[in-house]
Amino acid sequence: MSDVALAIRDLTVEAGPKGRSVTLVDGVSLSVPSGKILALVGESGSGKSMTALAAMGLLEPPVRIASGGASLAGKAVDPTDRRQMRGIRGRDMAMIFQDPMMTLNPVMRVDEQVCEAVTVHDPSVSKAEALRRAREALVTVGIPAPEERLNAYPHQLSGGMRQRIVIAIALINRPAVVLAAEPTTALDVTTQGQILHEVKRLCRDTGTAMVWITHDLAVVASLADTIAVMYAGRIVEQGPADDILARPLHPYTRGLLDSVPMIDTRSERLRSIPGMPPVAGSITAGCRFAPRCERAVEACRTAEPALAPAGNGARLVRCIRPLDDGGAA
Amino acid sequence: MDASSPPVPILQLDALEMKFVTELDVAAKLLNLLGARHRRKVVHAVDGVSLTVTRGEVLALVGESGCGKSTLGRVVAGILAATAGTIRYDGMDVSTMDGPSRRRFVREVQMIFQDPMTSLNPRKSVRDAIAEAPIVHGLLAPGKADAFVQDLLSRVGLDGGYADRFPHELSGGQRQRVGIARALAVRPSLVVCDEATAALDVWIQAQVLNMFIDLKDEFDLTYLFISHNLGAVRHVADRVAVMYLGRIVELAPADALFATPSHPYTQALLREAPSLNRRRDFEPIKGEIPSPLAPPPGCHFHPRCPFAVDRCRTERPELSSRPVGAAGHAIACHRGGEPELAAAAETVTSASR
Ligand SMILES: Nc1ncnc2c1ncn2[C@@H]1O[C@H](COP(=O)(O)OP(=O)(O)OP(=O)(O)O)[C@@H](O)[C@H]1O
Ligand SMILES: Nc1ncnc2c1ncn2[C@@H]1O[C@H](COP(=O)(O)OP(=O)(O)OP(=O)(O)O)[C@@H](O)[C@H]1O
Ligand code: SF4
Ligand SMILES: [Mg+2]
Ligand SMILES: [Mg+2]
Repeated sequence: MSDVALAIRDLTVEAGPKGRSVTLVDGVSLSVPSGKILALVGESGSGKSMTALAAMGLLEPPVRIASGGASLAGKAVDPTDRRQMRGIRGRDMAMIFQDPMMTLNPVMRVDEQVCEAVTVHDPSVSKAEALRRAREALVTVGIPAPEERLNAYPHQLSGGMRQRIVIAIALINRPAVVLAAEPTTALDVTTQGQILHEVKRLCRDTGTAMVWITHDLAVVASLADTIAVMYAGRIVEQGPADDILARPLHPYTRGLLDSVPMIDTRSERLRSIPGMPPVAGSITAGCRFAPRCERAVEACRTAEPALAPAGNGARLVRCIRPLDDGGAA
Repeated sequence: MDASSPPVPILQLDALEMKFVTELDVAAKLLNLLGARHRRKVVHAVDGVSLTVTRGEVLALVGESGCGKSTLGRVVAGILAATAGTIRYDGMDVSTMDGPSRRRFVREVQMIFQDPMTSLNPRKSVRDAIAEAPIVHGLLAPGKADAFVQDLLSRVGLDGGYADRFPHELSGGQRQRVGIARALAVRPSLVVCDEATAALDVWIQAQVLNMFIDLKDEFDLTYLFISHNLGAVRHVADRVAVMYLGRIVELAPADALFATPSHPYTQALLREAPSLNRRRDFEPIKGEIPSPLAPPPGCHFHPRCPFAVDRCRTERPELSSRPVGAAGHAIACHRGGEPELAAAAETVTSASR
């Protein structure tokens, strides 16, 4: 299957008053085929959540889409069209947020919230049927004693359980596209494993396309088909997951891989690179990563490299001096 | 340090318990009047935990979702009152503290929360969120607040320009770092980190974990480090406590735990850990995660345990260092020390190499 479920084209997101606006996402293009998982990785603040929120039509002023758009199964959608997006969200496209309390209503019982997700898009479903599906959805994400949990309020659940309820709500209508912003980072490895397993199965079986936003490369390694790496609002590297993990081309990707703490070894200090990503709005000429890059040369500071094909053509990299051997020491 | 008497531990937990009782809703109460028997539900989130934490150490708390880690952390930080058992901070029973000792406890024990959105006031700028408490505690002159905030922000990897932002103008990871900076601003002695680095990308995480270690040496900090990330735990922890359904099932120095995981649950947990070196499908621990509302009798882990015998189904195993035979390495398992278990520990550690 290679039909594209979701495509984001040349998306630019800005914030702040006109004239003094800062760019948070800068010309991002992504596409995910049905049944496949794309991992969007990158440092905190690089614009991952904004990209997803923009595609869902969920940006709040003063943050807005400056240009670009999206298409669902080949049909153009306008994320700024509130009415159109309301019909699409939850049914064709669902989002799982980083903080479960962004989705859950603290004063509503869990059963009401899960059932509502079903009935809002299909009012013909009976109360009993909605409850049955709710129960099933909770089992899928590994919640023990689902009946008890359905009767609870969000504050009576542990952090991981809240997160799983949110995932259950997102998946309950079997949407064509799911955008997930780090939904499993606060989960233990067993629960995480179970959910990733379920998510992968669901994508394969129902053809759901998934954009999985994360900074956890270990999770990416076991989940993703393709990877897109973001830095300061830009995509800097993109390609098949196996290739990128085995042989990163961009020095930034190499750095990300080097700083993963592993359970296999304990080093005195974790490697982390000096400096910080630029604050949105204070971006200078040249490659945005140059100030922190060990390989930077003069040319890196004068013009920003384009996202260009590399390797066998399936890969893209935005760097004039890519690592040809993956940077292996 | 005085060699004659051992130093007073910063934290002593003795048979600590936390039970949540869920009230019946109106419908259930009405039905009860008509003869139905709806019972109030009790969740035993922390079930008899005894622990000693020495000053300057990092004790990690790991375990499956819902096993009671956050609850234990909140009880230690004084946010929830335990339903039974005692907590001693610096030798003093927390429940009997008053006036100055209470104030000292409130400042010295800080918690970094799992969901930063719920702990930051949406109407306060980053600067106010960080500087307010140290000013109130008299640790910071208001005139010096700016430089102070800039310094703390840079330590958690944030540009000083973020001082004027409000929580909704920050990304998830930026918010979490503000939460960390705020907790460290009052110069705490004991920091309860509840998934404090979960929303951080690996670089910042490495930087923040390194910072935790530096601050620990600089200010003699002690951490209760709650985390699902075994890689991070491996990196920062001196000792690790593994929890399962409200109880501690294994307690060991970090190196010993990762080298010879001795409780069947710990072995399963380590086998599960995702790793860059092991790209494969997950095989979840067999069996359903039991409900904390009706935990299995005896050893809570027995329905999922490959080593369970009859005794496991009825009798609660106590935490003891006898079976492992190494100082400071304790497990709660009836079959502890048997060759079968030791052999299983071998297979876990060799698989991850
Ligand atoms: N209302 C706003 N005004 C100005 N800047 C904003 C606003 N909201 C967010 N930002 C900035 O936009 C940038 C991108 O944020 P985004 O939430 O997309 O990051 P992210 O990649 O998801 O990071 P994380 O991993 O920390 O969640 C951040 O630097 C953030 O500070
Ligand atoms: N206020 C409350 N009322 C009722 N039950 C509660 C309350 N707070 C927590 N619980 C229950 O106590 C148990 C332990 O929750 P806790 O939040 O401590 O888990 P945790 O180990 O931190 O999990 P996670 O890794 O998912 O954050 C759970 O079963 C939870 O549902
Ligand atoms: S006590 Fe029994 S059931 Fe529990 S972990 Fe040990 S062998 Fe398994
Ligand atoms: Mg985000
Ligand atoms: Mg928790």
